[in-house]
Amino acid sequence: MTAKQLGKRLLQIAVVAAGITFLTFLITYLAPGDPVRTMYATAGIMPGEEIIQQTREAMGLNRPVLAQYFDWLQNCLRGDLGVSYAYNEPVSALLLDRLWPTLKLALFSMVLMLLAAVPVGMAQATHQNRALDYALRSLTFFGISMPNFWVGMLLMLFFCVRLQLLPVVCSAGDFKSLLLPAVTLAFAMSAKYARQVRAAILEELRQDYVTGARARGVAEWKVLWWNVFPNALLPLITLLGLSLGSLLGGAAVVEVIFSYPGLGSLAVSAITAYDYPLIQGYVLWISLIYMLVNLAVDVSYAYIDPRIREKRRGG
Amino acid sequence: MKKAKRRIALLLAALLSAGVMTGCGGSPANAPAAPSGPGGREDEVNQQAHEADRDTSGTRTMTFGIQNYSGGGLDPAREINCAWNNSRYGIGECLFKFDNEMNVVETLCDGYTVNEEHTEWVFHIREGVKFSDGCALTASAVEASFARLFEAGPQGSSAPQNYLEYEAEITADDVSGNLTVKTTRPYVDLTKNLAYPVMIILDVEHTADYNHAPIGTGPYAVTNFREGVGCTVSANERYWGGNVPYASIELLYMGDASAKAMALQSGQLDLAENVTNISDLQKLQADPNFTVTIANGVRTGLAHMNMAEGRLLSNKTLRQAVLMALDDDTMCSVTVGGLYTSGFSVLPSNLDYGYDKLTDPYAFDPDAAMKLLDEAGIVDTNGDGARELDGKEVVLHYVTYPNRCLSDFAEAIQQQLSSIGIGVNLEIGDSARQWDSYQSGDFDLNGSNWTTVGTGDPTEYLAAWCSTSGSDYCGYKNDEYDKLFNELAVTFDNDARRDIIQRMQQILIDDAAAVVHGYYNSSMISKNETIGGAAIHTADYYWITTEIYPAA
Repeated sequence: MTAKQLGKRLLQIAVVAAGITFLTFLITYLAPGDPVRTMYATAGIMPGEEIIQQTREAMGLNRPVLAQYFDWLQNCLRGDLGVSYAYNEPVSALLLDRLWPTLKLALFSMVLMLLAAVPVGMAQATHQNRALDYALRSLTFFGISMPNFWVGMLLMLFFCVRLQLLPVVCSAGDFKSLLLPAVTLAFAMSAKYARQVRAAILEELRQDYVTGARARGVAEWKVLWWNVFPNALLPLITLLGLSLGSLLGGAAVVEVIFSYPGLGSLAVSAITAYDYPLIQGYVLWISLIYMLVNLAVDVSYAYIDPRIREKRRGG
Repeated sequence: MKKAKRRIALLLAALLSAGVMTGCGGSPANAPAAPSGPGGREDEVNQQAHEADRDTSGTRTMTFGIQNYSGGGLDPAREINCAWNNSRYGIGECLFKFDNEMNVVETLCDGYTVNEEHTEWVFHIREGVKFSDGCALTASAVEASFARLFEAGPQGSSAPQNYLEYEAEITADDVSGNLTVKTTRPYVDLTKNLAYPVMIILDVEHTADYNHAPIGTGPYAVTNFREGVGCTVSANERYWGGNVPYASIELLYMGDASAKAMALQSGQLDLAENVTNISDLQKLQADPNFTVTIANGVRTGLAHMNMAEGRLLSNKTLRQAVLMALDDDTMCSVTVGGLYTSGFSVLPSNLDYGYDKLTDPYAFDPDAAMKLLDEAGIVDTNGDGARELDGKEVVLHYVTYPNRCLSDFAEAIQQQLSSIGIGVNLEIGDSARQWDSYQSGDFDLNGSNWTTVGTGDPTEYLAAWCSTSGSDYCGYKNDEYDKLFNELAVTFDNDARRDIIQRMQQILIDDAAAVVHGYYNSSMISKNETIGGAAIHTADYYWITTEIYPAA
């Protein structure tokens, strides 16, 4: 990707992010619900309308929606994402606080997923339509069908309550706390990816270069790992980019179950409390990270696939 | 002369530096320390009974799983939940507190007087009380705490003016230890308002971060606040109320009720509040390793009826039939597994407002309900299974939200009403939608869960049925009720108030003015091996107290 192309993509990202934040702002305000009433309802209190209006005024919620949005955008360009209603902390600080735990969880679950999905997918492809393939296929169907929260609860029951090996509350920030949320996330993902790996490998196994390599007497494992696997990676990388983007936005359900302090649980609390500044900040973050990860994926194609590199060079 | 001046200067400098180094004369704040002495407030009989099981070393720690409200913030001026957090974590205290009957008990104030007009209150501040940083609690410190609350109040949403008007004139006299509060309007019982957690007294001179490390007079002080994770509170070695049983307590935020139960079973938690999942709670109750205490709180689960003109429920016979068709006992004990205690009045039966003297003319009797409807001509004329009233099908619009089993009640009510020919169009949304429908009047039944005596008095809550209160969301009009409600505002005598409130309840019952589900029970679950004395309080404001101690 040339510098000009990169600049163009970054500009697109900025425009799309601005559009997304505007839409979110609009939808949040148009949606039924009110942060002030929700806040009082949480405390089981029914104050008079006068108090409600005073509180709305204090929170700046009585101003026109557009004025509120442009103020937010202006401050956002200066790096100020506002102050959360629920936490009374700068939104950027809250997001940054949760970034590291989210990053750790996302990367670790991706690693676990790859460690499980690649060998399983490979085994399925090399044993196509045989007993092992059928058995593993059933397993992957099972993995995809099981909801995350259910897997999490089962793992919790077994490893935390029965064996007492791992903590239920995974907020300590150590390796033990990371393990169960990551395994839960990796469980469904690896089932999905194993099927993708299988399909990609089978596609490559039908190529002429594989027949050629085999005819030249190259060992089967060498063909598989040195020739087939790198070529099968390309479609998988696109999917990995999408998954990483979504994981970096936090895994709400899993984080809530394991009390894991990531961006997902922060987003849930923001939505529950109608915490407009935090919702805005979160949406901005997730849209940016999604687009940037995908940009990185596009850039990486050139390095992974020499054909694309050559084509871009005008060859 | 010069020498004398220098000596005085040196002396002042020495005093000043000592003051700077030691704050208000104490050792470093919040340092975990051994208990400071014999229990002051602990009930003696209770103390003796548990002495054998008690670890009195003061070195123990415990882990407490709690729900995270408002990010765990602790600034009472900012939000009501933050004020509750502050009180619940044992950090701050008010001049008064509520006992389990919701009567006020003197706490940081040890005596008061009030003039006849109830506009001038003189509170004597308890001597010998210190903040956790070692500074003495004085009348001036209380005055400063209120001043800060009023200054910060308009920027937050805890609305301190609800408890003490901004116009109140507050003066402190440190010599007599008196704090005088003069108000522009009479307060029936200001002590109850001052017991509400928003009115917590903090050391404003030395608190740098109200939301994460407020300095209070409670048995514990925040030593480590972790955003989104929890916080650690450590023993306040200067606690005026006696022995502080734990060196530190780890508070962990947890969002999932089943996870709370599993964390208790796995040994990661010693204590948890409000496991709201019925099956988990029952499992813990059956387990001899845990003690589950359940108490009637001050919350009533009910569905307000919209009795405004033109609405179906403006018809009293229909309202009576609705109440007679509902089996509250079964709903409370089976449908929601005992998380509610059934009752027929809008005020909880455990409060001192004469519940036992009330009578319920509309007890569960579905046959009688059908007969009543038939006799009133509310019958199914077109044979579609639903009765008609004034040519209109009786289908009630029921709005509620999934909180504290409200949606379970709504679904059960829908079924029971359908059996007597009353349809229910159920709308389960969120709390904001539910509240919006109060404003718009777009409901027949509105299911919610209200704190009835937040400040130890139900006046504000009872305003929902007073046509002149401005908070009448139910379109209800009863002259006698309105008259009694207005009488409450000028009746200062507690017995007389109790009598008025009892009469108001009976009027609402007789008029079939609300579908009362029951009274929400809060729970506290402790691990017997490590914890003793843990119990849930009627008021939702006290979780960590010195009554909770480590089992030996």
